[in-house]
Amino acid sequence: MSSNPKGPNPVSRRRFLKTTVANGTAGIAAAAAVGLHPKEAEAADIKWDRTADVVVVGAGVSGLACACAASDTGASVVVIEENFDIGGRGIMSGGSIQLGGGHSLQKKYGTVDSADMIFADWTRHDHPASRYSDRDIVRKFADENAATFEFLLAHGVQFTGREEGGSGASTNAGRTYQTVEWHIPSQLVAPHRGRNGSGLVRRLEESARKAGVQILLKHSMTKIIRENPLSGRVLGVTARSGGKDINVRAKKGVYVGTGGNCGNVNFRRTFDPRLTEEYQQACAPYARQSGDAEVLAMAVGASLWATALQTSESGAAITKTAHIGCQWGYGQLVIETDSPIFHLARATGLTVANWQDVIMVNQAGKRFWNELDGSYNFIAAAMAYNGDPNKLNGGGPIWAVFDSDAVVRERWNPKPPNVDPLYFASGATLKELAANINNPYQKRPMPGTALQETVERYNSFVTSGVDSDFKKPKPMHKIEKPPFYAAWATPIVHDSLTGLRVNTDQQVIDIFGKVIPGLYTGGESMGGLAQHGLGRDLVSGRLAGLHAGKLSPSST
Amino acid sequence: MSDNIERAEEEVRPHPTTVALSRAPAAEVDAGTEIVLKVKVSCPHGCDLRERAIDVVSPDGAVVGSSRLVEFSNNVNETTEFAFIAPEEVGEHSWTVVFPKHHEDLVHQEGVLPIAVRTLAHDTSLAVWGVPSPLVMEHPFRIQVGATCSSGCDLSGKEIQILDEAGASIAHATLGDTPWDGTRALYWTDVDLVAPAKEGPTTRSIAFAPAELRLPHGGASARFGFETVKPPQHSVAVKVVQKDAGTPVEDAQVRLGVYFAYSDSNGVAKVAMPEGTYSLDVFKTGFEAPARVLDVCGDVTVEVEVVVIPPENPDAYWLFDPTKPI
Repeated sequence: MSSNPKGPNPVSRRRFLKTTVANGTAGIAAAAAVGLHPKEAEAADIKWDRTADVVVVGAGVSGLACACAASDTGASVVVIEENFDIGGRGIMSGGSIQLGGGHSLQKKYGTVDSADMIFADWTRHDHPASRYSDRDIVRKFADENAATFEFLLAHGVQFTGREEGGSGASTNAGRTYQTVEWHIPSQLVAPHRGRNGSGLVRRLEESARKAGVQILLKHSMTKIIRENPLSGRVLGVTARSGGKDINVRAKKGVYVGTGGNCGNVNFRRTFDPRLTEEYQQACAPYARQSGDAEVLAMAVGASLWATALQTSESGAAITKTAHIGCQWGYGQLVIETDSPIFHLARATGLTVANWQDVIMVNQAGKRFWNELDGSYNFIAAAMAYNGDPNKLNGGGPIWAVFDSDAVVRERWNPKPPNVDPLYFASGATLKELAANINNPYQKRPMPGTALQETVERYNSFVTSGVDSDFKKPKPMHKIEKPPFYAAWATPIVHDSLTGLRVNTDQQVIDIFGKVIPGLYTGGESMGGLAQHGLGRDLVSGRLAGLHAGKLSPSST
Repeated sequence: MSDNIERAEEEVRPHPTTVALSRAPAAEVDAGTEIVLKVKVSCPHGCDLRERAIDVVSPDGAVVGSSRLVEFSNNVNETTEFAFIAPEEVGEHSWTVVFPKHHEDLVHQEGVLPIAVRTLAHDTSLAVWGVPSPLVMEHPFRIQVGATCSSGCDLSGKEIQILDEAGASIAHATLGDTPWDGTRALYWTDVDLVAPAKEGPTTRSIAFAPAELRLPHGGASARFGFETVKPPQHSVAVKVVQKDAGTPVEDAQVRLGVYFAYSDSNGVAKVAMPEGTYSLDVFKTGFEAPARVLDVCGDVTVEVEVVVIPPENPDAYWLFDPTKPI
């Protein structure tokens, strides 16, 4: 993520002297003499390993949309992706695309929708998801919804049919359309788990490659190269692969779409200081959500925007875990043993069918909330100060504690590969269970006596039928029959709901309110619109690609 | 010439050795159990000392543990992890880790490193399960109680005591000799008890103070509770059916206040209970039913319709639906 101090110095001392000491004019005149645009002359002093009109960083949903759109304009495109394969979070997604505005599929099924209706939905004052929107961004997003849907069809993306969930993503029009899962299981990250987003990213990849887009896998962006630290044009990026840095020149623009910042502990705490290291993120360990776009763009002067969107507590910035006993237990996502990344995930987790079967305790072995709740009130209680004077921020690990009767009720098999020994423990008694918790985020041993007292008290609630501590409705099952289990159930960070400031062409804006020429962003790296998922990614990526390719969106 | 002199001086000059820990022993261990450590030895001249011994020496000069240096890397010699047995007495203990001088090696000096470990009485803990509730006053019932030791010691034959709310012993039992399934060393027993003669919530405690074990062990306690109720007067049958389909729903939990039962294959749960007014709740994963109030003043059969909760849209969580409450 950070620049390599031993890597190539992309902006040479010679160029620096030429552009500062000679005040530019001599250099420009010399460049004109050899037929180069002055800016190109400056870039010529850098050792460029590759050159394209548009350089896209991140082969996720927004990056692939950008690559296809830029390619549509006739621009040459190079995509840099740090992973071993494309797709980012999109390949793990359920594939629900929130796009409307009166596109062809809506018309086919008689769904009445318009750009104005989208604008109205995403600027509502009476809902925190839309209250803090940047309305300029929403206006452009609304206006480009339908065209973006047609763009997907033109690039071969297939849909299952009419919209699903009439109220989804809107007040008054169905706008949720499901892509068809990619048909080659070996090219999926989570085969047979309804991860239909694979159909979106693989189709876009297919289309991009056919059009000549080059995709450089295992290349991590380490630097955005700008003419001067806080001024001038963005010229390209430095990327590292196999320990070697290369400079990639972007003649028209660099698009940074690295998928949000949830996996960057330092950066995500900009928005919420509670989000310390114990909170894992959705779509890991496939997509890092590194915040590289945000951090490296800010290093060349970019600004954040609409930061209230991240903490409005209406979207899915952080969620209750659904699969316990593994490091990443996010929602609908299960990494099965046939996944190419199972060796990284290490366990599938135990999917909780009924939260009555467990209690949730914190690092200190104490309950903190009604386990049936999954709202932000639950999340806040899980992240509350747990009494550790050496860790004031973050709530520490959360453990789901249950007994062997719960294992029978839930039909769990609490052994690897279903559980990860680092994120799971068992014991003959509750005290032994507490002593057996050995997890890197459990900074202090869980006091066994405290856990035993917690469970004894909870069992008394089951007997009486009343949870007088946290009002869990009718606690149903005692935790009493050995062996006992503790499974990792710490909340999972999910959406980056805001990010870098952009204008309506997706150009990044700097801390002084000025456009950074040649730098674009979108998807979860952009700020101004907190819509979850693929619609925002696709519209913003496409708009950036069209603008960087020097065609106006309306001409497509 | 001067080089030769320096080399000759170096050959006769002793090499001091430094003993350090690659893995420090735990600060506290159970008495009589293993203390694990890993030792490294270095000499300022980077000498390869592999095959040389490492001893752990007690204050009285006895060698209580030993190993050999087997790794040599970056001028440091290392043992593998090795263990010696902690004293059986509880308290602070110290030893010296020694790189001994070897009679054939006139160059390397002895190296020493003091270490200290506190030995503890073994911790014990209890589990109690199979506690029925509610219980009719003065009726007998049976529970299971198990005890385990932090080092997995054999606790078979040891006694546990059941105490009432005033702390008086009301029953005792002896732990059996086969650990509970799925545990390393949870020694357990059935305990037969009698419900008290008063109505309401009751708490009991268990005390465990193992004696006559070779190694020192601490005691343990635990609590359990149940509701004591009056003798039943009426039979309540609750039939759980799926709304619209009318089909019986098996294995639903039916709760009537502190009473509960599970529905059978006909969807029927039967509860014997005294007269009164009770909150009737039915629970089963994937279904929901509103709570209702039931007056019990005679034998009664009631039907409860449960509604199937529709399968959740996997992405419903993400859909911006301002019509729903936040």
